[in-house]
Amino acid sequence: MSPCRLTPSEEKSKVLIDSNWGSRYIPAERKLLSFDPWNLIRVMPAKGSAFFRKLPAASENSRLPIPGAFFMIEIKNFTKSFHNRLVIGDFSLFAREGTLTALLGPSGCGKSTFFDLLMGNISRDGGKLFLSGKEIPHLKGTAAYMSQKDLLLPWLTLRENALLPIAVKKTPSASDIREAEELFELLGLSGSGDLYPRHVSGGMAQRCTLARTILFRTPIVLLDEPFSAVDAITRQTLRSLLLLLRSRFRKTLLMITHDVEDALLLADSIIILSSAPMTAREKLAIPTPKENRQGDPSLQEKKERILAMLQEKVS
Amino acid sequence: MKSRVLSLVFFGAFLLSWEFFCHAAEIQPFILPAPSRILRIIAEEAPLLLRHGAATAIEILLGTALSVTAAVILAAAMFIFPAAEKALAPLLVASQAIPVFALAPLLVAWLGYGMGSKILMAAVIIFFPVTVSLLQGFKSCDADLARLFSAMGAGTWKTFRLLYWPWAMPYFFAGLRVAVSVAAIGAVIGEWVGSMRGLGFLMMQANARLRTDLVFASIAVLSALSIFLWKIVCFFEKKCVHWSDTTNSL
Repeated sequence: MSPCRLTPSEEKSKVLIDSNWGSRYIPAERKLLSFDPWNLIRVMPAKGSAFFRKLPAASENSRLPIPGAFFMIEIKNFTKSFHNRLVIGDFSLFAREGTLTALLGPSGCGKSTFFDLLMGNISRDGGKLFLSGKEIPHLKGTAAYMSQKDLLLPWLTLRENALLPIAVKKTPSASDIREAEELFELLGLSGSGDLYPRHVSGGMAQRCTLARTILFRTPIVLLDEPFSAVDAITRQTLRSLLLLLRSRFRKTLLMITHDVEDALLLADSIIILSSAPMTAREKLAIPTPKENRQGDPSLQEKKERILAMLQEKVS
Repeated sequence: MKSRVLSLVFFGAFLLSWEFFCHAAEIQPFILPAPSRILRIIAEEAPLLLRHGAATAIEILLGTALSVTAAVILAAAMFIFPAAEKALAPLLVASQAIPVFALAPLLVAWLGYGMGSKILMAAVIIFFPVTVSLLQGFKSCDADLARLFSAMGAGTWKTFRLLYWPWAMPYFFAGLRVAVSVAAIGAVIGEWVGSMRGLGFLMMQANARLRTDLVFASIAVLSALSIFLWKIVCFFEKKCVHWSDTTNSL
């Protein structure tokens, strides 16, 4: 039997496996994308391999939002002023585990300042932050950070870059290095650990970034305009990687973006922001399954409505 | 390789023109010695030139080490504590307005005729470019990388060691390359003002005895020394900053 062909029992269980990896069937999330990232990520461990047994596969039920699911992160009434000018005014949001929340607003509305507040890089004037119901001062050490740039340190190898979140705290142990190698294998970077970022393609660099984000070992990932200023191929790769983070690694994603299409295609909920000061103008839930989103007329209506709102604010 | 051959050809043509000019115009050696005469003096006076050249080289190296140590500490302090930069930057810039020739007699008066005053002279002259280059390097670090380190929970020291320091390395070496070539100026000025050894001292002695050929021989040795130090810096730059495209060599 061909290793690619599934037995009847596997056929039956394949719906329970996050089919983004390991299966030769085109997964729903890849159907979403007109460009197939499989072409970029060829070297995958076989279905049922040790890696897949080790990692708990995300079930279909983990595709949140699930009514009544546990709040992973809750922000209450964040405010921030600079020189008596209110930049963020009474901003609140919550995001459930395993969801992608897009913060959509015009350029300069204070989105990056908001991330700095979340990370504790700057102090906020007011507001509270809760993680799993427990109040915390900031997300430093609790959230990974990913931007449109790969942010790989050119003087470190890909392996060292991936292990950086561990290296800033302690010397990576043998098991940490083994975990990094397993992630590299999963992401099609086998044998690339000793290469420097300048020796690899943009796609490989982005996959290394993903490995690093996973090795943060944090439940939350902050995405700062992840698709701005990237070419079409990298954009598609990044989209698929984000969906992987959300579905397979069950990360809670907060993404700031000014691209309505990205938000509509990827997010579980969208918060439309107003600028000066940044406030949550409207929250939209996107219940449509991701695989059905492309060409969905209701999303087109939503897109037009969002654009109208953003233009209205600008005018 | 092609550019290296080209520069050698250019340099050879320059020496030949000089040689030809000296013979054709019948210029006296004490006014302008021909390159062939300078080469002969270098060969004849090699032990003397080596002895004094070694003294100058030690002054340059120790001056560079002293200056680099101070520059690293100051640049790091100015970067980590912005208040320190605000307080020290005007003083640093003002220090560059002081002519080194004015400082040299003072340093000799304070530190004597020994090596100390020359080492300090070399250090003073290169301190500014190294400090400014390094500070510029720290400041040019990508803000998103700083955010990334903050998200990783890295403290100030870890962030400095793992991010800012390597990031600033190309800038540091760019400053150091300039520094080692101008450090020779500081050391020689110090030797001119008052010393018992060094190529500057030898130049003054030779000049007083109208041994222009020996002055030129000293200058040639000093130039070779500067190029050698430049090459050493380039070697270490290539080793330490292997990821950068800005590494340069003569």
